[in-house]
Amino acid sequence: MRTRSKVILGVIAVAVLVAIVTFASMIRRGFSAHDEPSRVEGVMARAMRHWAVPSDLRDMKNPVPLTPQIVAEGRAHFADHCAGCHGNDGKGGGMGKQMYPKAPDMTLAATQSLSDGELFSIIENGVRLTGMPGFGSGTAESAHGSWGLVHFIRHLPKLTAEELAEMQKLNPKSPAEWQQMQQEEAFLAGDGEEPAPAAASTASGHHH
Amino acid sequence: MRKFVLYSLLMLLALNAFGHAGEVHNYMGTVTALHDDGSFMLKKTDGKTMHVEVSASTAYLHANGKAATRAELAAGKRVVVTISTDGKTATTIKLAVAKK
Repeated sequence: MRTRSKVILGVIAVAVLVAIVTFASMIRRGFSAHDEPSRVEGVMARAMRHWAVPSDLRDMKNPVPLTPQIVAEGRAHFADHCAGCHGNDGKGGGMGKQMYPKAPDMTLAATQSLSDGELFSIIENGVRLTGMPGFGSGTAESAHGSWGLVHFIRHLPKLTAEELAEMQKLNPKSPAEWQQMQQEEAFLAGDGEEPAPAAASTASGHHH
Repeated sequence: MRKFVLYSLLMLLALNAFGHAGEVHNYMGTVTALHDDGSFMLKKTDGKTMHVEVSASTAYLHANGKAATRAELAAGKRVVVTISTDGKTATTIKLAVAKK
């Protein structure tokens, strides 16, 4: 009995020591949003996200019929509200790369295997302790928009270059970016004429 | 003081060099020559010429956003080229719509 107690105490002491050393090491190194979440964090976060979905939504199918029009609406909605973090292609471009956890590549199975209801819930309610805000307002209009986005998220793996170009026009833009887009359109519309130096281009002839 | 100015200039040069690494750029210009591998020479609007490489994933589009093909790229054609973060490969090439 005494031996067993000593062994248990020894194991506890080693575990506490390891925890202290690990914690001290983490504190010394600091925390950065540039890091990738550990496997444990990932598993726990996915479990929490799953539990956060209201039970009546978990297995729900999209009630909005799939039509080209609804996908087009979802595409425009995504370009305006979501692409800033997720990228137009849904692969996690833009600010999403700097977040912790990073915005996921939504064309992959980890997102595509979520149910319609789970995707809807994430859009409407957001995900706590991540960069994903809750976009829902509790109105029928909001719900319709979110179900349209669910259709579009399903469409992401099949996105064409034409659709991406269309989305680029719909992305939120600064006045300088608007000016740049208009210059490019004007330049392309002037086929057959000698190229004139672009006023807003930098000295090296390019812009971001 | 002289050292301060020198270091400041060096710092600015370094920032300029690193500030452009890994960014996506758009270039407006006219195609001047096509190569067999699909790459081409682009005369930019500032008069300078650059070599643009293409890959299997390079998208060709008309100015109105409709799909185009590589075969439509020709010398004299106006294009807007989006160059990927590698600084040389086009991700998207927008072609001017030919006037009727």
